[in-house]
Amino acid sequence: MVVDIGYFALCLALAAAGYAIVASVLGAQRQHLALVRSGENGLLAVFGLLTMAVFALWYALIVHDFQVLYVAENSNRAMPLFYVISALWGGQSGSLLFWGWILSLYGAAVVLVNRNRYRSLMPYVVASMAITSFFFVVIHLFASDPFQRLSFTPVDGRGLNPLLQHPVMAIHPPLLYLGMVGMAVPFAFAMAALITRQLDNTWLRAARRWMLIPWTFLGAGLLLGGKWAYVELGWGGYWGWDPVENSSLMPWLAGTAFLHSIMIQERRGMLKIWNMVLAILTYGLCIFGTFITRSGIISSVHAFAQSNVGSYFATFLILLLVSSIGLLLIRLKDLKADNRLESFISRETAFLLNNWILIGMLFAVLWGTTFPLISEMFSGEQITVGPPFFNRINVPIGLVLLLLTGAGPLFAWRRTTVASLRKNFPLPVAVGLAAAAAVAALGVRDLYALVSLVLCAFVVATICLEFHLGTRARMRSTGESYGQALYRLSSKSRRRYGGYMVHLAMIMLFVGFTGKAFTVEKEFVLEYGESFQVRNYTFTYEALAHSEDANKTVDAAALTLSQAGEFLSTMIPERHFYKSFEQGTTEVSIYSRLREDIYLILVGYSQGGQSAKFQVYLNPLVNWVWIGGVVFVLGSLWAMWPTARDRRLAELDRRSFQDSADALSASSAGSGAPS
Amino acid sequence: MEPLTLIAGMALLLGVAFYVCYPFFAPQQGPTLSAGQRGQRLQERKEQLYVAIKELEFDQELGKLSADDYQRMRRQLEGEALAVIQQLDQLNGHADPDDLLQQLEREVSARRQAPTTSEAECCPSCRTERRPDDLFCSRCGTRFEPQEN
Repeated sequence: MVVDIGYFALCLALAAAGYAIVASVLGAQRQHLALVRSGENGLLAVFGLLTMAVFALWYALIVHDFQVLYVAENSNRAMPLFYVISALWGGQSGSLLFWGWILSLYGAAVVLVNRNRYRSLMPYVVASMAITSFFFVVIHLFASDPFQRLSFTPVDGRGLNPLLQHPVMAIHPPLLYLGMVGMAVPFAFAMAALITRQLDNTWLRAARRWMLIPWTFLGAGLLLGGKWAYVELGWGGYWGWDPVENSSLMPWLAGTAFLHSIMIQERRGMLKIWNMVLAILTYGLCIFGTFITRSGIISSVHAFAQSNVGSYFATFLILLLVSSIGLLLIRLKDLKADNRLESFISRETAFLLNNWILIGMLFAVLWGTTFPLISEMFSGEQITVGPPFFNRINVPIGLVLLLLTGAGPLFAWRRTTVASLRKNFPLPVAVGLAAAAAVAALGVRDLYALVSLVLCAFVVATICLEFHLGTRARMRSTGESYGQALYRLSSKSRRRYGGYMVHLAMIMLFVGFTGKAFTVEKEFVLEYGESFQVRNYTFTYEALAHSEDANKTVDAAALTLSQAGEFLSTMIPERHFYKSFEQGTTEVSIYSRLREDIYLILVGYSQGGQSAKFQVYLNPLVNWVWIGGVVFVLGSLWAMWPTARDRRLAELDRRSFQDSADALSASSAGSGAPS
Repeated sequence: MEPLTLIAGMALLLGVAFYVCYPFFAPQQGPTLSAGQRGQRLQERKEQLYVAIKELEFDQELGKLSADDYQRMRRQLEGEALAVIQQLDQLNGHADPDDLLQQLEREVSARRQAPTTSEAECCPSCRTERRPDDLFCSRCGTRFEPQEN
């Protein structure tokens, strides 16, 4: 019964989404408030109905209703409850339902937050969100039905892919979906602005926060995916430039460019067309990325099995691009810039360069990702480009971006004087040069690594200088203590200083990435009691143990790790074998320190475990990637937290709306007409 | 299909239909969708210009701008802000041109000196943020003591 209700809820959701589109557009055109509100309620109803569908599928998973095909394919009785729940997004149709649900969640949030705001834009925002919801429900019902039933009821299910049975992997898809799906909201505001010709900064104000939220989730999801790859896949790395990884990275790059370039439009009334293009590009890339992941047209370790949803996504993507670009072309003349670039030494120029570089990186990744398709079109054969291509292009581009990250904040809007540059640049440059000397003295000869670490030091110095100079300026005008002034400065200008925190996070990531240049990798075979040395670390093979449960068998090797004769830790790399999947997985053992990880893999062993083969990686600086991820999230949260100004503007919106309502009531009472 | 499933489905259908149609029967707040929009946009533009002036002052304090550039850019921004305030005053039915520059200076100064929302910036009764020149709380109507600038 519950499953049938879940399916019925999907059918109703389709109707509700369709109604929301029609009611919102008609209501806006006829200025009929009740129709607009009804459309909003339609979108809220979509959320309620998809929530029912999601809970119905969860119910089926938890009670092991194996007559439902999805439940049979993605769970079994031996799976722990945590993974049974995460199996909702473990397979194709379940994850699509989860995607559609998150989209409806964003739609509901947008409606509820803006009940009294952006009233002339909201009908078209609702219509845009409802169109996307409609598309996803069509997929749920006609292409990838999560409630499809088998003609019989299996005794047990197949279970979740063993690689997905990891806590990090359970969280990674929800974060990514919260990121990718959320990009529909700024796109919706952009379309609403184009349709209504309200092309001032009103839509930007809404779009900025609604871009920052999914951008943060997407960034966190990318890093968490890297963490999962690092601990689970057992190849010593965390990013392989896989097509599915790239398909999530590309909208993040476009979103980063958008978050920077909207500042130029807000302050200088420039780049209006470009911001529209970025809003369309960011969301378009999300749909494109989903298409790549789910169509199977490009092979990937991440991809779901090939299915027919690819053609649906391709059609939707084409319609989305044609309609949004067409609308943009119609409104081009209304998007003229209010100002021109006054000086090349200005923050506007730095942001412009930042955008070019980010988009350059994006297109390099896009080219490499789609190259198999392009090569197949011309040669009939898919030629894959691997990490060497992506690294060769993106490493130097990334270093230029790093330089801009340091230089940009030292420029002023409109024009920066040479005297100002002479005053503010020497200290960070001196820090960079000192770092260069220190790094060279440590024996670093890899050019990119050297440049990267020097630039990291330069950027850290500029960020610290910005905080320090701003704090001192505030102390002079308010008489506050250093700590008070620093806190109040950061709180009052959350966008600026939250942005600097995110830049600091990027530096930590770059430091982590740079460590890859110094990775050491060795393979060795040991008998019981034997040792092997890598640099000044000694690995001594102690024992191999075997265990088994209903789900899997486990073989675990114990090795003692010591450094210069001093015991550090017992490392236990494992190999698991999942019975229902007949698939083995590697469980690496990692000894983590701030300066490096020691990463040990059990490659194989003889009968009885008398001898075993191991692979070890020494990964310098890798933990700075994860630390940078935490700082990234904290910095983004700081930047998006509402300020006094945001609350003031929200209050202005509310008052304006209330004043209009009061005026109408007053005039209706005067005329005797019902309000 | 089980009868219970059918009943549950019908109930769901009716519930959704009621929720979606409810706005047609409930009294709606707000006249048209565009009422008050011009005033709202002018207010937003005014806020943006104040932020731009504040940032200009901040950049000047940090030594990123020369005195000449600062004066020139500030005059330009103040001119734009004055034009917006004038339009707002006309929209609100009162215009006092002699007072505009003083009003501008007051509001920019108030925003510069206000760090985060402090005790002085909130209504003591309902904690709604207040502007420096408010005489009553916009939410609960509490009368304020005049603030010194």
